[in-house]
Order: sequence, then C-alpha cells, then structure tokens
Amino acid sequence: MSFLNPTLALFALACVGLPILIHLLFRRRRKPLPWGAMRFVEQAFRRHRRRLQMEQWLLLALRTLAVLVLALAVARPIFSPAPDRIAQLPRDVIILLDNSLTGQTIREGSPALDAAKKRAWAALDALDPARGDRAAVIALASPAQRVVFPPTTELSGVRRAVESVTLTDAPADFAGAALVLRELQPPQNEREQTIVIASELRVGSLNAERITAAALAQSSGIPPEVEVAMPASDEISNVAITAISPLRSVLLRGPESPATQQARVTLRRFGPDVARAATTSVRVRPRSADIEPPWTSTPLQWAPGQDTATILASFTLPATNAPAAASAAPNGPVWLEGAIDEDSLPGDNIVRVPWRDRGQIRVALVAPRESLDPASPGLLSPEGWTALALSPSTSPDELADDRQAVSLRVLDPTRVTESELRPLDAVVLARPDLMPPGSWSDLSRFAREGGLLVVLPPDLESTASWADPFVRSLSLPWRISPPPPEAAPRSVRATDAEHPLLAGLGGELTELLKPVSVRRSLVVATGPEIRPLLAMDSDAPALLASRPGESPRGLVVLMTIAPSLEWSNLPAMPLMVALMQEIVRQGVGVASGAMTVRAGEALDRPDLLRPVSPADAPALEGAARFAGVWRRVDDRGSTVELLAINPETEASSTQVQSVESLRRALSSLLRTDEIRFASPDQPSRDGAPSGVAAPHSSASRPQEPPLDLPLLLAGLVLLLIEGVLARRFSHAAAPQKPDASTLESAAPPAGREAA
Amino acid sequence: MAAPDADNQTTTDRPRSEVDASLYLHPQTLAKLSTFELRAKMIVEGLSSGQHRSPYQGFSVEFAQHRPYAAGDDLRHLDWKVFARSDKLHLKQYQQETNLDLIVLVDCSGSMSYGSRSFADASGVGRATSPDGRDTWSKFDHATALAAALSYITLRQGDRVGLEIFDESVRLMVRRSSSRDTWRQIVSALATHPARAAARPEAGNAPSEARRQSDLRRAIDQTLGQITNRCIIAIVSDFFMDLTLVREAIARARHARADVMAFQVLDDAELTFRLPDSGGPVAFEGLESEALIRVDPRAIRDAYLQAITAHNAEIERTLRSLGYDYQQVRTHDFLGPALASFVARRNAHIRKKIR
Repeated sequence: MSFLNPTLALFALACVGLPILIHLLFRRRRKPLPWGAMRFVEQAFRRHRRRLQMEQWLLLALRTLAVLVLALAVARPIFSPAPDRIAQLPRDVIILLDNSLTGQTIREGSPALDAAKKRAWAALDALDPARGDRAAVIALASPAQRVVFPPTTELSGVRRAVESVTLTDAPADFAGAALVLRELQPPQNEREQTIVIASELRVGSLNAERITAAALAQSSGIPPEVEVAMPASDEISNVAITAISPLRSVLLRGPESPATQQARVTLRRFGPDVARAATTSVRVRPRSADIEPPWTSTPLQWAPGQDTATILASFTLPATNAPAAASAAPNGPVWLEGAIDEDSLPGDNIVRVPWRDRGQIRVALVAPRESLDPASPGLLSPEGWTALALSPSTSPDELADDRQAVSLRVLDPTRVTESELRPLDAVVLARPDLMPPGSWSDLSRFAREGGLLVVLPPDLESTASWADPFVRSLSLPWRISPPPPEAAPRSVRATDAEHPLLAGLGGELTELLKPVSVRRSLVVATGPEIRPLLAMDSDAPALLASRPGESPRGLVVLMTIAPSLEWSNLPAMPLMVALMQEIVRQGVGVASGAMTVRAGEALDRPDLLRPVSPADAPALEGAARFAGVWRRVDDRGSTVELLAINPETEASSTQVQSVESLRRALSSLLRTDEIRFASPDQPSRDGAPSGVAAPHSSASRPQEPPLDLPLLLAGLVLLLIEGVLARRFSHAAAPQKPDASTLESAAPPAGREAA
Repeated sequence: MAAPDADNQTTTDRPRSEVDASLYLHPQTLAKLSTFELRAKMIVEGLSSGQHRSPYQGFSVEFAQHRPYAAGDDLRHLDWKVFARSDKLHLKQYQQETNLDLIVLVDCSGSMSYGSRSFADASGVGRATSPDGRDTWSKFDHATALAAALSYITLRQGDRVGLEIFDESVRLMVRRSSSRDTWRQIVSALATHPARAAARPEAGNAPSEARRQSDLRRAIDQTLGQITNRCIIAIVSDFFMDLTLVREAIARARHARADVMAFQVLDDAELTFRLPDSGGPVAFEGLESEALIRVDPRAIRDAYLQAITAHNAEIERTLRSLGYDYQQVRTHDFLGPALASFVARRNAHIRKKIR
C-alpha cells in the first residue's frame, strides 16, 4: 500500500495515540469524590470489575481504531496489487547507462545518451525512498564505471550523478558491468532488484551474436528483473573511419622527402546504406599542436553491399622554414588525421595516428670497417653491398652526411655496446658471426626499446656461432639452420606485400622480384602462424620480420639470403637498394611501436599523458575513453612520444538487433529470464511480435483508486458502534431502580412508637 | 435545668457549651425536644391530659414507709393488710425508681465525616459553614445533634448521661453525670472532636487521623466494663463496618444484659447513590483508607444499592433479633422520630421495672 499523501499517513499514525492521551489527561483532571459508603462501592465494583474493564478496553480500541481509520482516509492510501512481481517490497534499481560511442548516435537532434538519461530519471521517479527503495548507476563506457554504487536511498544525488555522465568514444562494457553487478548481495525475500538498461542496444554497444565466453564466465549473480528501457528499432546508417596509417612510417624532412605523401585509410559503413552505392569524401592532413593545415580530400566510392573500404589518400606536407635537425629525436609532435563528413555518429568520423618526424634515420652497419673497401666493383663484400644499398649515392666517407635521409655509420662488431646503440634508429648486422657473446644482450635491449635490427647472414657455411644466440636473446620464433648445398636457382615472391616494410614498394615489388634468383639461403623453420614477407618459390622464407619476444616495440628483420653474389644475384639487382631502403625507412617506424590505442583500453601511467588534440579533452583516469591525441611526458615533463586514441571499429555499428537475440544475449550475460522490453508498440527487427511486457513504471501502471472513501465509511461506522456501546456501557438509559431509601421506607419499622 | 413553660418552650437556662449547641439542634428539634421531654416527664410521673393513657400501669417502685390516711388521699394506695392487722387506715409511700443512665456511643470513623446536605440548610442558626469551614452537614454533625438531644432528654429526667466517641477504640469519654455541666461537656466534646476534619485531610490533619475505621466490638467491650447499673447504650453510627463486628458487639451487650439502641445515621446521597451527572467515571475516594476507585456510578448503581440495602437490613435484623431497637436516621430528616423512639424505649424500661 502507498499513500497519495504520505505525510498525512505519518500524521495518521500519530493520531492513534490521541484517544489514549485524552483518556489519561481526562482521568487526571477528575477530582476524587470523597465517599463514606466506600465498602459498598467496592463490593459493586468487584462484582462488575471484569465486565467494566472489558467495556472500557473495547471502547478505547474502537475509538483508537476509528481515529486511525479516519486519519488513514485523509492520507488517501492506494493499493496496487502486483500483476508481475510489482511487490510491496523495497526495490533496488541498478541503471546501466550507455555512454559508449553509440550513445553519440543523433536521434531527433540530440545524442542517444540524452534519451537514456531521461529513461534513467523516469526509473528513479518511480522509486519511493520512504519505502526503502535504492538506486545505483553504472556507466557502460569501457571499462564499466561505478557512478553510484552500491545502491543508495539518496535518489536526488543519483539524479545528479546521472546528469554528470558524459559521452565517450569507448565501446560499451557489458561484461564489466556484469562483474560489478556480482558485488550486489543476492536478492533476499525482503528486497526486489531491477536492472534498467538505458541503452539502444545497437550492435556497437552489445553484439548479441558475439557474447564471448569470457563475458559469460564473468556473469553476475541472479538479478530478478531486467528492463530494457529503450531498445532501438530504427536503422541508422553510419560511416566510420576506422584507421589511418602513413605509407611512410617515418616522416623524413630532408630534401629528399617528397612534399606529397600518402596514407592508407580504412573505412567501414553500417546500416541500410550499405546496400546502396555511395560516395564518401575522405580528408587527410598532417597536424601538430601548432600547425593545422587544410585538408586534402579523396573521394571514396562505395559499391552496393560494400561495408569495408581502404583507400590511399594523398596529402601535402606543410612547408617548413628550417631544415630538420640531424638529431634522431623527434622534431615535434606530429600526427596524421583522417576525417569524413559528419553523420549520425560523430565520434567515429575522425581518426588519428602519430607520425614520427625525423630529419634523418640513423643507421649503423655492424661490420669490420675494412670489409667495406672494395677491391673492385665486382669484389664487393656482402657488407659492401649492404652499405651500398643503404647509401647508394654516398661514398663510404660521406655515409654520415647530415643531408642524407639515411645517415649510415659503420660500427665495428667489437664495439657494439649500449652507449653506441642508444642514438641509433636501426642496426644492420652484416656480420652476426663476429658479434661478441655479450653484445647480443645489448642488441636485444636496443630492439626491445624500439630499435630496428636487420640481420643479414654472413657468407659462411655454418651458423653455429651466431644463430642460437641471436634467436635466444631476442626471443624469436625462428629456428635457423645453415644453408644447404647449392641448389637450383629459385625465384622470390612477395608473400605479404601489404606489410609496412614492403608497402612502399607497391606494385613495383613484383617487377623488382622477377629478376632475382637465389641459389643459397638460410633454412629458417617457423610456426604455421608466421608469414614471411618474401619467400622462395619453394616456400622457404626469404625475408622475415618479428617483434622481439612479446615486446610491443622493436622489430627484427632477417634476410635468409646473404648479400653475396655467391648466394644470389640480389645484391646486384635494383631490388637490393629498394628493399634495404624500405626495410630501414619503414622498419624504423614499425619498430618504434604502436602509438595508438583503441578507446576503452586500459592505459599505462595515464598521469603522464597530456592532451594535445582536443586541447580540452577530459582526463583519462586510467582508461582511454576519449578519442584524441595525447603526449606522453617523462618525469621532467618533456614529451617522449605521442599517443592517439581512436574508437574501436565495432563500437561504431549502429545496427539494431532483434528482441529475441538481445533477450538471449542478456539472459546469458546476466543469467536471468526475467527480461522486459519497453515500447511494446514497436515491432521487433525480425517482424515477429516483440513479446514485450508492460513497461515497469508508475506512469503506465494502472492506478488503483484510493481507499479514502471506504476508509471514511469504515471510520464512521466505527464511531457509530462506539457511540452505541458507550451509551450502553454507561447505563445512562437504564431504568432507575428503587434506591435504598425507597426500599427502606416501604416497610414500616417494627416496634417503633410514633412520638 | 429550668422547667418548660406553659408553651413547652425552654426559654431560660439553655445549656452553655464551648460551641453553641443551637448549631446542632434545629429550633424545631429543640421545640420537639421540649415536647418529648414533657411527654416523657408526664409519662414518668403518670400525669396526662388524658390524651395518652399511660401504658405503664404503675411503676417499678419500692415501698418506702406508711403514713396515716388523710381525707382525700387516693384509696388505691391504702395498705389493706395494715388495716386488717391494726384496724387503722394507712397509705403506702413509694420511692420512685426511675434512674436509667444513658451512654451515648458516637462513631467518629472516617465514613461519618461524609455529608451531602448543605450546612446552612441543616444547622440550627442558618450558618453557611461549620466553625471549621465545612459547607456540608456530615453524618457526624447529625450524630452530634442526635447525641445532644438524647443527652438533653436524659438529663432533664434527672438521670445521668455519658458520652464515648469511638472509632477503632474509644477516643474520648465524658463520664456519666447528671450535673448541669454534663450537657455542655457532651456537646463540646462532640463539637471539637478531630473527626470533624476527617473529610478534609488538607486542613492539616495527618492522613491517619482521617482514615480510621470503626470497631464497635471493642467500643462495646470498653463501655460494658464501666457499667454498674441499668443504662441504655445508644449507638449512633452509620454502621459501615463488618457485620461480624456488629454481631459480636451486640451479642456481648446482650450477654451483659445491657440495653442497646442503635441509631444508624445515613446520608441521602449514600442511600440513593444519586450523584451529580459527571458524564463518565467518578474517582471515588474512601474516607477510611480504602483505595481510589474510578468507575462510572451508573454502571454499578444497582449493585451498590443492593449491597447497601442488604447491609442495612442485616444490621436491623441483628439488633431486632436480640430485642434491641433500631432506628434509621437520615441527615436530611429531623430528629423527631428518633427521639420519639428513644423516649419510648426509656418508658419501656421504666415499665418493666415497675412490674
């Protein structure tokens, strides 16, 4: 039961004591009556005491009950029996508020999160803190966040907390929310729990078809009810720009650097427009904190049914006034932006990637110095060929010229130390067999810290001196064996032409590979998941690339073909120069590690991240919830590198899902069958009846009439009964029996003589 | 004491007391007193105007001596035996033996302090309040008036009268005497007894003084211990006591061959149980240490009347069964019938003696 006037209900309870209070006060005010014939009063009282007491108690009970009933009538109680678990028990409502990327979906001019907040407030309005109802809020943007948790009766504070939830670029984390829900006590008999999902539940928020086993394993306890407050049923088209990567992983600002660069841009589209042809204008530009050049647009033509596309978009580098510094350190933060026109989901219309900006790439060729001196062009050593490929237009004396894009120095193998390696971007190990054993650890550290290590086999029969230390120190998934005896010449083909190391060669790679013939090569065994960049026609790998162990940074490139004419004609082919240049120029960028994370991922040391674009981005607080560019600083505050946060591709999906699939997914995730969907008038996506239950809100629940009139009548009846009984018990209407004097005088006294 | 004049009014020598006895003797009562006294006297002396034949044939007298007959003497008193022996006419002379003492036992227990009649209506001099400030005429006031009247009659007869005021025991005693001062002493003792303040403990008396019950048995015992000759014990009380005590007391008096007259003084309100309509329960407060009882009078009226009627009937039956006289005296009524009853009783005693 609840009351239309709850304050008066409390007043009604207080009124119960009024008859008792009046009775006590009235008793005290009566002045005692001195009485001489008290013994007869006592006799009469003892004779009727029990009856008199029962009469008084009955009257008091009737008066108290009448007062209570009349006071309750004034409070206007209503009684609403539960058609389906609408209990009179106090309720806990846990609101899952979807502030993920799909919450930015524009609906009637405002983001879907606004509608979700309204639904959340409506759920709060249906609660009664006087009954003990509580509420909690979990924001679904990954990772799921306890906005108000555990549930509290301070509903006004919960309303304010809902208001404070902001949009993010992260995907929804239903699995994390389920984990939080597990912290709730299992519902006891004295409390009801309802989970209100304030989300459109588009595929971008919860892909019902892909509820992972991990999500199931992390499912919460058994909440009794789940209410899907606002399931989307209208299809909305969306185009998301999901990735951008410059063709050149390192921006070299030397005079050789072309002003026009290219970037590979990947897009994805969702919704009904997928079935149609369309055109999307893709804009790309390089940016820094200080420079915001104009966009360069490239149109993308979508074919009907095409939902994924990758294009090469061209853009122009802004002119710089000063030549790039020779230092290998970044000149300044530069990133590449790719954008499309605004559509129904703004958060995925721009993507960013940091771009290493260098004046030169510092490369060290580890080989004995004397081995680079050719006796004649035909007698170049493998190291000489390698040096030539790395600096084809430079004499050995000009290798370290600051004007060269690739600054090459020769490093004796015995001098490979950490201090020598630190200023380098890349190390080309032409004579791994001459490496002192202790130098492999230095090389491993160099690679793991983001350096590029290119290993070329020496022109030797055996690999025993270097293969195992090489593989072991760098934790590589290869097993290197000596080259077998010369075999028939083999050609080389590209097996991963899209690899960043080879992407710069583009369509020329096939032509460059045609004349290459290989007679000897190392035998390298790899796992089936390892895919070489180049391979012989016998499928033996020719060029391999791997990160050192589990390190997210660094790159180790192994050529199985020694740059020796004894092994192949590769050193004398145009491919050699192009290949070595690409390996170095692209490899440095790949080796520096990914500088992008997907929104929603955890961040390492978010306290060292400073917003760059947008400059007013919210604090990250341990998770990458907001897209943009941040700079990571060291303890002195100096910028170490840039970090770009981009939305997750799947989180951009605006596709709607059927009620049945959502019900199955939520049932599995939250382990309950009590799931209700709002908006029963909207059919499901599959066309079948949605089968939703009536929305669980006081506004739509049929209102029972108040009980004031029946209670009023009952109170009046009680008063009438009390009046009748009071009169009866007072004996006021009892016929007056003769008194003692009358009885006494009726009989003449015996023996009395009249005076 | 002066003889009544021709109008049967006692005009002089009204007994003096510390408290004006007229307070307790209504003028009509006083007037009737004179009448009763006159009648008594007439009865005793055998003089009558002819309206009342003396029921008492002769007196209980003793022969004192002979005297010679003189012409005109009543021939009924001739001693014929002496004439037969001496052939002389002699008259017998008798000594009148009409001495009959009165001991008045007045109950001063707490219940006697109750009264519902206004003092102004009941008092003899039209005062609104008693000398101690009460505005109601209590049963003790009425008992005082009755005791004063009985004493007056007895003293006028030349007999001795004594007073004992009792509750749990005899509290105050006035020795039997026939002196002129005795009536004043009796009235004064009754008028100034602390029991008068019993109904108003706030007047300064200790509560124990106001809450005593009456023990008639003990009072009778104490009284019987002092009796050496014939006398009437007049008990003036409301008899609101255990019937067992009453029976035992009366039985002891009977055993001692004492004559008892019981005057049960009652208030009309106690008899009728008609109270001002308070519209609800009344907190009855006993005057003899009983507990407070809150009850609607209308709810217990029938049972109350039954109880008090039965009690009073038992008192009367007990007394009459032993040959004693019982008279109910109401505070709202005059004392005439009570006094007449007393006189008749006295006459009955005298007649018995003569025979």
